[in-house]
Amino acid sequence: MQKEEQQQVFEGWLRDHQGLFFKVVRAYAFTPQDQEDLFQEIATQVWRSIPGFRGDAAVTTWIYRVALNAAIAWTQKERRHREGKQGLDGVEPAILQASPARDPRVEWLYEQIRQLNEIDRSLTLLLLDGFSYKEMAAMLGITENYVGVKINRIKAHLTGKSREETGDGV
Amino acid sequence: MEFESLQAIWDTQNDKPVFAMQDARLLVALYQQRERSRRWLFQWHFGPLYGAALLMLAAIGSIFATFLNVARLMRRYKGFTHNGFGMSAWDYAGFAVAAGALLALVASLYRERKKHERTQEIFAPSLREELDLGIAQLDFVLRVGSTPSVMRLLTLLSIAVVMISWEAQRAGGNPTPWWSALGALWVFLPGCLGFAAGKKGMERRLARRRALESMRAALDEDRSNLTTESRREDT
Repeated sequence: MQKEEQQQVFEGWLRDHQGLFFKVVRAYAFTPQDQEDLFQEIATQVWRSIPGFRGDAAVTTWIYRVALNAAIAWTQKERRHREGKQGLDGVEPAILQASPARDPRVEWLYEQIRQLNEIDRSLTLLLLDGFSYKEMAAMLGITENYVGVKINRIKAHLTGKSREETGDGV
Repeated sequence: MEFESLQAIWDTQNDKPVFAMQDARLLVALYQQRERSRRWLFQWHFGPLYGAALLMLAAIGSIFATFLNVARLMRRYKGFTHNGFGMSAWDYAGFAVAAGALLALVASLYRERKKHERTQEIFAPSLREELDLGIAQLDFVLRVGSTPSVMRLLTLLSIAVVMISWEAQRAGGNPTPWWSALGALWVFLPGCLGFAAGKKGMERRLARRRALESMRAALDEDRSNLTTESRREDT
């Protein structure tokens, strides 16, 4: 694949699916600096993955798969290197500030997702974005049954938390 | 609250435009990012190189003065040992080459930076122009860190270091300090290591550039849709 073609595909994906990028970033990175860092990591990984995309899966599925793998790897790396970590060049995040205006209910939902472990976070994002158990299982390399068990637990956890918080206007 | 309600909250994110609502905030954020990038480039690239060039020019001056006054220094200070040979035409040429390499380095850095800064020292009046300036800034950072640019810089620095080292040794009494040539390694090795270490940063800047380009494309698309819609309404 030519570089120009890859560039065009990437720009199209970023334009059409930027909401997906933001969702994964906000679920896995907490501070604006980390979000900027993760956004760039995911963008880089998605860029690299383009030549390998054969159209067997939907574009959203492909991007989600790459983005979640990048986010999980980034989270693990971050945990190891958190001590003494410096920003790349001290550049403040701008890209993520372009994400939609914050809705407190959505913020609350992200807050709950961030408290889950990495795999549960991925499953929650995929669940909320309408992926089937089969697709989730394929993306995360686990069995459909296990996905089902996990999803039931996640749903129970989130609805339980929302009931606790209902008084706070969620 | 049931899970369906949480799903409905989640889906509200899909109904909102990504850019249009926050043009002003995004413009300021991009401007701040560009400012920081400019400061970072000066603090970590141009500033240290200007400083190093200045120190090396001062070193050339003092070595030149020492070499020129070898005979007088030998008379005045008993501890100053030297073979007593004076400066040859080749030594003058050596000093000139060292100073010339440093001046060429400073001049090219200054010219390159000044030309770029003229276009950057403004607050862009629109988001579109701010995005263009942000992309131009990233292009400049990428150009400064590109292989030809770094190699040119390392070559000029190596020439200066080798010549300074050579003349310093000769001023100290060693007529043929061939090992001075190793001075080039002192510049090239750390320089190349630093260059290799900065590769990942360059990749990230490329990703950031692509993201900015994509935002600009999305902005153009939004605007053209709005224009088409308003025309339709007018008719």
